[in-house]
Amino acid sequence: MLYWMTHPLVVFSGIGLGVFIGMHDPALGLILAPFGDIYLALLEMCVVPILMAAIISGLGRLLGPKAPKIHLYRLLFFFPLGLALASAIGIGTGLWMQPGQDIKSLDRSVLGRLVTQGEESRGDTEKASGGHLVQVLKDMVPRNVVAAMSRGPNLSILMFSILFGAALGLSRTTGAEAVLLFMEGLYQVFLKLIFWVLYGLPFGLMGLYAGQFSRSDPQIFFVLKDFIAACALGTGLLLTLYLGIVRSVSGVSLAFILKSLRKTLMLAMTSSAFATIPTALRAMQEKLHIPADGSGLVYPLGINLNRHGSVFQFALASVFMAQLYGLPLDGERLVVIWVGSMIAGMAALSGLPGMGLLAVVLGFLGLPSNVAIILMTTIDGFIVPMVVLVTVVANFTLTVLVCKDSTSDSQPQPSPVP
Amino acid sequence: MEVMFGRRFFSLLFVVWLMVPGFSAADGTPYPPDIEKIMQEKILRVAMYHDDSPPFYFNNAQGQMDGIDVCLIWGLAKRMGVEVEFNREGKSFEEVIDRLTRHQADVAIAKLSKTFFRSMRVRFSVPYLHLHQALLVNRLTLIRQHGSEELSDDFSGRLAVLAGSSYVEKANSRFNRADIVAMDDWNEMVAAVIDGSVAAIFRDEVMIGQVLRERPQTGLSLKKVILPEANDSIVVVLPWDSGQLLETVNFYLQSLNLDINGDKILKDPDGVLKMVREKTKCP
Repeated sequence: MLYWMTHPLVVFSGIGLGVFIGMHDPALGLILAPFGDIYLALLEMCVVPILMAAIISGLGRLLGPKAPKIHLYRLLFFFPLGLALASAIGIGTGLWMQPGQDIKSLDRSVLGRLVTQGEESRGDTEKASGGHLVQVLKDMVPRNVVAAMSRGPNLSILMFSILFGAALGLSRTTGAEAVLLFMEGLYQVFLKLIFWVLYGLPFGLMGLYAGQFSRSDPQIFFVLKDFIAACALGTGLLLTLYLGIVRSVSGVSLAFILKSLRKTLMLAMTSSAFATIPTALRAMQEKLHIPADGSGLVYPLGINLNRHGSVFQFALASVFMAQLYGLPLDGERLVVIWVGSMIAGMAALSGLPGMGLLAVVLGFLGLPSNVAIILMTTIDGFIVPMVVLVTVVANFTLTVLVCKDSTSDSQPQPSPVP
Repeated sequence: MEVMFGRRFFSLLFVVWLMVPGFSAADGTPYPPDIEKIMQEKILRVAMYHDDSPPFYFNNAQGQMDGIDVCLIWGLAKRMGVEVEFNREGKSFEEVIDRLTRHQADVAIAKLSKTFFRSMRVRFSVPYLHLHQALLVNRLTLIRQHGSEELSDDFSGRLAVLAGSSYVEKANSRFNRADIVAMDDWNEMVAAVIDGSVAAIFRDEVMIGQVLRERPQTGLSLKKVILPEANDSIVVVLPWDSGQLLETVNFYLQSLNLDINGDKILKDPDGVLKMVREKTKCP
């Protein structure tokens, strides 16, 4: 009945209206902003249970007596390859488009003023340095699972879900089987919830984008237009590549893939990759006939650890910063950016804010990460949806590559009808 | 016996009380010497720094002295009923202080700070302005030398300060591992931190903030670091023996009830100057 609410035309109208309001009537944009935040909170309310239920039941089945096969060697091959590719395309786009080269003096003044104001409002005490490895590992183990759950999706929940799922899969008792069924039931209930929430997507996006754009200075977008264009080009390249792979592996048409992924792609526009888990899993299981056990494990794990979007953004932003500061990019520095962006992208769940990890790469290059973080945060509204889109489609592709052709004699996970 | 002692004591006190104004009365002047000299000459001689530092002291478009400090002293002289004579020969802030110790000036005002060594030579009024100490840091130089954009007290790079200013003493006591370079000219210091030949320059938050405001493009390479716990109380400075004039200056400053700080001056320098003009009835 409300099917049209998730139609791309309606969803993009919501985004367009939000951007228009944000730019032309910032006061109204700020009034609408809380509605966007409420919508995002509604989506994220379902994220932690879905993430946990999907990983626990996926791993539980995988290690259980009727284990489906996933192509582990493919995972081990494609996972690093994908990250390396995303990083390389980030560097390549940056070198080709040169978004940080020859920025005019007037534009440098705009950027300089933005950075000074940004630092003044953040205070001098805030640090953007990367976390300590031991601390990251320490934080990974949840002392209190319920407390960890209250912090939203994070590495400790992932760790707990993996351990719990593994223990569940190896416990061959009727009680354990009941827990597994309970997890699957829980997953389906939250799936139902998220499909309800989906009907508010155009309004939610309108609020989110109105808020985002009313808080930002249009002059900055103009100065950083080359960076935004480079980001769009790189994103386009990666998406074309991923969809091409899915098409050749699954043997279905591009139009069919896009139609199946419609809701997932729309949800990615909320800038929350986690929110796409249920719709992406459903599209894979129902439309592309990927077994539920494998995809239920690989996709949520990938959203956490295989962040092609962040890797791409880190690589591009590092090249941009090197150009902005006139740092010549020789072979050694390019390798630092290439590898550093991959590591930073994987560590994106270490509890640090997303862009804070850029400090890992820029620290190696001797470039100021505070400046990069302030500049990137300012154009979040443009960049983050593209970055999330890349991560979502990349993990969709990885899941298809890893799980396609898996022979599963376990019961496919039933999916509810929205 | 006790009654006798009490009477003698109070009689003695009465004689002393009669004698104190009696000295002045004998000279025919109602004022202590420091005030008397100013009242007789009808001029308040003010030592200032040679270079302009708007909005504190500068030559305006009409070529007249203007600014917060100028108005404060102008208002004081007006209340005393005397003229003001500004002397701007001081090539460094220490030279400005030296004029006071040699009694070549009655007061000095030039956004001057209190320091330990100055306190051994001159007297300070109550502060009329509270600033913070601040640094302007070259991001790339600091990262190259320390591996981080954050400046700490164990900073060991090159740190420039204005020669003959209170910041020489402040830098030596706070950054004792740094290579402190005293430079004669503020613009030379700014150029040095921009080209990275020094990692940071050290002065008050207003001067540091003005660099970033006047040259916003430097915000990409330079970073302002305010030391929140390091207050810089700005005072009027007087010769060591001007006790009565100090009372007058303090009374005057407190009666103005000024509430200005570095933040307000950086955000709205003209507004602060206008407020000071109104309170001091400065033209």
